Amino acid sequence: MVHLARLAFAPNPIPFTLLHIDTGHNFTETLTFRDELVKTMGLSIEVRSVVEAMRKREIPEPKVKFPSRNAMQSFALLDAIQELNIDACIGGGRRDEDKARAKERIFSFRDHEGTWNPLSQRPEPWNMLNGRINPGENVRVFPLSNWTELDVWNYIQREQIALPSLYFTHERLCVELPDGALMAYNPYVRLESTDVLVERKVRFRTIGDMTCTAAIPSMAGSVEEVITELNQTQLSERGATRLDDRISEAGMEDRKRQGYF
Amino acid sequence: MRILKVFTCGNVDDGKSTLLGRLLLDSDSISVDILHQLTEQGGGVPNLALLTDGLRAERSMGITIDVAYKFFTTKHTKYILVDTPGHQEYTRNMYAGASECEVAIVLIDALKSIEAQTRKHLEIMETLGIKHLIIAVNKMDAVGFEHAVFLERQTEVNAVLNLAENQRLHWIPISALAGENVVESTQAMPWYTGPTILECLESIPPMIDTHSALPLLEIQGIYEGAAYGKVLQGTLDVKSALYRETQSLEIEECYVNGIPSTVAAPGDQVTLLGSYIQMLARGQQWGEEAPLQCTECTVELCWMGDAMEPGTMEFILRRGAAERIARVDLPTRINPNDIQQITLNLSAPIDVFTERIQAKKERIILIDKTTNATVAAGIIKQINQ
Repeated sequence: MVHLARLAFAPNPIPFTLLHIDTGHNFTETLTFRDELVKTMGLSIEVRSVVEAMRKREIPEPKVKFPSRNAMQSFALLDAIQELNIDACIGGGRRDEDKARAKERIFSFRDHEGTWNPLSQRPEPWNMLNGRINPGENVRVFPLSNWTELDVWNYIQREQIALPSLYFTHERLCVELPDGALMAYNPYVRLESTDVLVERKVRFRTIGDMTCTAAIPSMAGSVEEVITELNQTQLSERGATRLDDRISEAGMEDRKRQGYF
Repeated sequence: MRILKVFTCGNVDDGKSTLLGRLLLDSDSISVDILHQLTEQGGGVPNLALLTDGLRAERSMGITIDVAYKFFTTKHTKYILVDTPGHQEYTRNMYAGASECEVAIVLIDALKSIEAQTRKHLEIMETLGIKHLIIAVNKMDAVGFEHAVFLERQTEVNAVLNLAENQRLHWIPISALAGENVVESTQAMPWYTGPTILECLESIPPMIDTHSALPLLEIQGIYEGAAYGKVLQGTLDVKSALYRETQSLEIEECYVNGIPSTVAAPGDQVTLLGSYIQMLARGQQWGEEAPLQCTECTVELCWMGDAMEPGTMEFILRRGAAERIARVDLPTRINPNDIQQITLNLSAPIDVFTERIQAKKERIILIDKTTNATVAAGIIKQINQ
């Protein structure tokens, strides 16, 4: 997304600020990459804390095995939108990720409470996008709506875009779940006595919280190898990696209704 | 790799979502985890319709309400499949989903005579000027794969169809449920020797080369001394001047994808720098010939908002990046999902080209001034000067 924004405005600089909703459960590699990206491209960034938004609302930490703050990101995002007076947030969501996302517009209108109403979306005939809003409302903008996971990787290859190392194979200590899913071992997971820790060669297909993103066994160490792997895979991106979407079929729709990106 | 946008339409329960599901399943485009879920929900057999009904309300009502997008890739083509709703009350969603597609797959139920809603969909294909219509007579398994039934449906549809010269028609008898003639050729209908739906899609030639059209640049925005625009058609050559009203534009500095360029291809986004920026404005169109100035036009609209009583009212008109106030004198009541011709009076002229009006490429949306909702979409039919 940053690369596309740069190309869209070049030779002038990107005229907007980056926003990171930080759950506090990010991989170190993600944060290192974020800081480097901001520095090398001369961008500005605002970071807002999910923990702070939870504290403000007196929401307790989830007391489960994998205590994900994923759904709570919406609170911090809505606070940031209000505080920074944001009219449009541009993100990398794609329609091939999830069946509720497959229904979402490129310019996704959110009311003054940040709510997505999937049954009254603005039609987008001929990709004519309507971003008009009244004060207090906002739009979420998804320029990559019609890209697939493979399209993204092909583009990364063509444009030689730098990525966090997590996307490529590395040795990692993981908790192996009964269904075979590999969760990165981290300080937030509440291990049970029956849990098995295994050292595996893995990579991540999506990078979210340490507490809800599963790794996949992989030997792919370069963009070319990832593309080969994706051409052969039998599993969808979220099916392979997201605990939060395994819980309920309408997981994404419900989160989006509450203001989720 | 070329991109082909395809949408399915037809009446409720004619099997649109099942067809898309079948297309994805038989072309090995459904992941095993998703297939597992669909099979569980279908009680042992994959429930293909649930693949695209992505909203809670759709699953609980068992119908498609809004457009869903699905993707699959063959050797040479990336397909964007647009599943559109069949119900009359969601016609507007169907219109919006269809608007950007090159190919329509219209499903006809072999068991039933052509219905009002199918007729409405065919009318929309004509209005939008969709290039390729694949008419798939579905549920052939339920009529014993009889050739006579196929011919009967063909006669009925031909009686109501009124296509333009550049629209192509393809007839295919199928069973989406059994997978006959979707990806795999039929065994059950030896009387049919034509292509399957996928073969038909694969044989559709790439869109006419718009490189050869006259170059046309739309200005999308001015920001910090730079102008941003899009090449709508033709090849932009910085050595050739562009014209608008009495002015001419000789491009000094042009960037495509961040790289200094002397030419830009159709669809390219460009950044322009130079001394002429102050004469450029959002929504302008600059062409090899100057565009016409249009302040009054007749448009064929699909009404997407609430019902409107007769009278005079104002909307925000959007055409590409241009926005104007449009006054409408509505002679009769207009209902949601109506297709109707309406005259618009604009607060200031927009730039239009006669050739693009003839090609149905001058398109607009109307936006409610208070709620900012998109209440109508349409195509400019003529300029009234």
